[in-house]
Formats: sequence, C-alpha cells, structure tokens
Amino acid sequence: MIAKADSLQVEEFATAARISRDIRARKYAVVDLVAATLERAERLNPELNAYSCLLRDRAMRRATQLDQILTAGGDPGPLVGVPFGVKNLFDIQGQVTLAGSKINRDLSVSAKDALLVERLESAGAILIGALSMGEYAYDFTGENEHYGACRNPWDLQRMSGGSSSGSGSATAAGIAPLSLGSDTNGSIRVPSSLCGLFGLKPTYGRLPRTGTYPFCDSLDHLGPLARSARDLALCFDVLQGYDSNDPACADKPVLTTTQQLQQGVEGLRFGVAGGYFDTANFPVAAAAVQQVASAVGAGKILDMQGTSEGRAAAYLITNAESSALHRDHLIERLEDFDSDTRDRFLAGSLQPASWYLRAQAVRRWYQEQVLEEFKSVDIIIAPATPCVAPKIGSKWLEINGEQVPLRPNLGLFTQPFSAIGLPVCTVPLWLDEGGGMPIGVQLVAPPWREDLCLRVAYWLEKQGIADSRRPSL
Amino acid sequence: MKKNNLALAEALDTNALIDSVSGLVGIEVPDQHREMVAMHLQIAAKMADLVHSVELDSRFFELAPVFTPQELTEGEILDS
Repeated sequence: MIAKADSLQVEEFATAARISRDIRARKYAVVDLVAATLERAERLNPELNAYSCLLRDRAMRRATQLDQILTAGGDPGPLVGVPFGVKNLFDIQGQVTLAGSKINRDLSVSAKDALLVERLESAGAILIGALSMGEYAYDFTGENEHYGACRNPWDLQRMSGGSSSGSGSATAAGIAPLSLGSDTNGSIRVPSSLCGLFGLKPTYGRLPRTGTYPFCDSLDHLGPLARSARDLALCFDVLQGYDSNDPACADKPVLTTTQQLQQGVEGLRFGVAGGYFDTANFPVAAAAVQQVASAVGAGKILDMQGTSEGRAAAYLITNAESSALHRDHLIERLEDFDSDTRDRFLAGSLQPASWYLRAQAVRRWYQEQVLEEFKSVDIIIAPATPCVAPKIGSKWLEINGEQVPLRPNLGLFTQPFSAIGLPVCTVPLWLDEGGGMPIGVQLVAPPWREDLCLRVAYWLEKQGIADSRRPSL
Repeated sequence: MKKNNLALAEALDTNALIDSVSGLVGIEVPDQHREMVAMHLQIAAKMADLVHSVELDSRFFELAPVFTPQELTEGEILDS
C-alpha cells in the first residue's frame, strides 16, 4: 500500500539514502514524496529565498514516470525518487541560466540540462528547482542585490554563506535532500559550514562542468551538498565519468566510494593544519577542529608552509580570469552588476598580467609544498570558516586584529585547498561556543582520494561528532 | 623565501594604475566606483607581493594550467 502525501511529514529531513530505500520498499509513491517536498518548498521559500525557480510540472512528470517504472518492476537507479536542486549556474532545459545575475536574464533558455543534472536523473533522482546564488559565484555571503539575501535556516537574520547559498539553505531546511553547487574558492564548503551540512568539493578535474556557467576556469569545481556523508558518497559515485566537452575534466576511472565508507579510520594518519590555519583568534573554529582532531587521535600539527602565498595565487587568478570572462559585460552593462561584484571585476580587469602568471607558477609550487605534507599524513584537518554565520549585512571581519572585507575572507580557510584542487569533505559540528549555529571542519585528502575524506566524514557521523540537524521552520 | 616583501603594494599608485590601464584595456572606471576599485587593487597588490616573495627555481616558470592537445581520431584526420 502506497502512503499518501499527508503521512509524509516525518520525511521532511530524510536523507537521500533513506528516501531511496523507502521508495524501493514502496512505502510511498514518488509522486507523493515530490508533491510533499514541493509544497514544503513553496511554503518556506518566501522566507528563505533558497530557490530561484521551482519546476513543479517537470518534477511531477518525472515522478510519475519513475512510479510507472517501479510498478513495472524496473530499477530506476540508486537515487530513485530523491528530489534535488541545483545552483542556478547549472543549465536546465527551458530555463535561463541566471548565475545569480541580472545581466543573464537576457540569455536564451537552455536547450538541454547540464551533464551532472542528466547523470543524477539517470540515477533516479528528480530535479525540483534552481537554487539562489551570489552573482556570478563571486561571493561567500549569500547576499545578492538583484534577488535579495538567501537566508540561513538556523537563523533567518544570518547569512547562508555562498556562493552556493541556495544549495546550503535548501538542503539544511529539508527542501532539497540533495543539492549541487560549485566551488571555486570555497563556495560549497562555506555554505556547508554555515548551514550545518556535509559538502564535498572533489578533486579539480574529477567532475565535468559541461553545461554550467563558469566563474574561473582554472579553479572551478562542482560537487554535492547533503545531510549525511553517505548521501555525498552516493551522489558522488553517480556524478563521475569523463567528458571531453570540459577541457579540464580528467580521464580517470570512476572511484566507487559508497562501499568503502565503513572501513573506518583505523590505519589512517591525521594531521592538523597549523601555521596559516591557526585558529587562535577564532574560538568556535578552534573548538571544532580540536573536537575532530581528538576524535581521530590527530596529534601532529602541520606547518602548511606556503599557504599564504598559495592563497594569494588563488586570489589573483580568480581576479584575472573572472574579469576576463566578463569583459564585454563590464564595457556594456557595468551598472547592471551587483555592486559588490562589479568593483572586484573592475579591479581584476586592470590587474597586470605578470601578477596572474606569477600566481599560476606559485600555484604549482604550493601544490608541491602540500604534497610533501601528505608523505606523513593521509588526511589534513582544517577549519572550514573562521566563524559561524555572520549577520546579514555584515561587511567586515577581524583577522589578527585587522578589519578585512568579509565577502572575500569568509573563504580564508577554504581558498588554499581549491587553489591546488585537493578533494575536501566538510563536516558540520554543533558546539556550545557556536550559540546554536553550526560550523564546519574540512577533511582534506590527497588528489583523487575522495574515498578517504568521505570515509572519515562517515566515521565522524557514526561517532556522533558530526551531524546534520533539523532547524525549526 | 621572503624577498621583495610589500614592494608592489607600497609603491602602488592606484589612481595612476586605473587611469593608465583602463584606457589600455578599454574598460572605463566611473568616478563613483573608483574608491572601491582602488581598495580591491590595493588588496591585489598585497597578494602580488606574496606570490613574488616565493623563490621559484630560476630555470623554470611552470604554470599550473596544463594544455593537452586534443587527439584526433584516424577518421577525423582522413576526413579533413
């Protein structure tokens, strides 16, 4: 007997793994689950501003198809019936790819879905909407002059984090069991930290970016946000596969991570990122790192030499490449930018080429420094953000006694790892010091070893150290 | 590793940079945006000082992005 939608209230915060299992067991129909998820999203979205567009007709059509396949005894895939949303820089057939901007409203609608949307739907998941984001992904806050701030489900007066702001807000609010985001300098990991989610930024080049609006080609990554480590692994496993349409995509065999989750942490060597990553001035981040380090028995403090320089390289590369991408917009439509991104794009367009080239050389050098650290450890533990979610409208952050602009510096701890393309899983912690707000810790693995950081995330979740909780909404 | 520290940021004249380069690249910086653009350029100059402080091997200048020429299949070559 298939249950009706009104009996699905308990499923509001169900993980993707649970949804898929229950649907396979025919505890409820896909159409009922999708209808309930859409209704909840329509009710909560006016306050959260997480979705920029809900795709009710498309999602219900797909749900009906999946129910028919299940009734006929077919297997729609490992994520059967799981609703998901995508940051609105992913192409969606029939929709304009806004990338958080006003300027892109003038683009034609997309002829087809982004490749990763196709892959998730091929695995049985159902796209239910496009998610809010900071303009052109140049953001860590979730604020957007054109569309308003995306709000944090744990405190509506606080930032969701960005630039995958809607992905963080919707998945934390239980209106997207899974979401996809992009991460150039931390845009999956920052909202995961501020909204209390598990987030995976895979190795640079692992997932094809085909059919997404770019930000900075040298540094752009795509990846999932979820409410459990297992969901990240399930999603990551079906997203993989080489695609020649993305020149940065590496022709690597698929790394199946789900079956390795239960291997635990025994035998793994851990180090805590020191030096640049010192959290002496950030008590909540410090407590979170300490809790994870204690749980896995990490005593070794790593120097992480060269990180300031590596982070500077990422900063300069981002300035130069993103500004070059938007050159025509800067000439023709300057006043149509969000003022917070406009001034940074303008500055980037004036940056000398020698700075950019030096940054690209230093980036390679910095990779060598960090790979040295991996000779003695398998996982580097580092803070994800310097603080819990700031109040919306905050403009400044204090770092070592100096007031620095908040917008670029919420990614202070994430930017160095994406600069050299390392896979990172962010896990959420809830500490007394956080005053009810979550904060994330990064688990950084060697290149192409997403399995290791996912294993540790799963173990921390099983130990009760890290978890996604349910906000009252 | 720390050579040339803060040389660029200290020497940077942001107004001169904006005036000279904006015309060169064909992107106008309106007066009302100049102050914030200058602030971001100043931050970038500090970042530039950091990347220039690294002592790279003088024989090499290896850039991170690697260009891999695309291989054509036999059929594509014969068809061209």
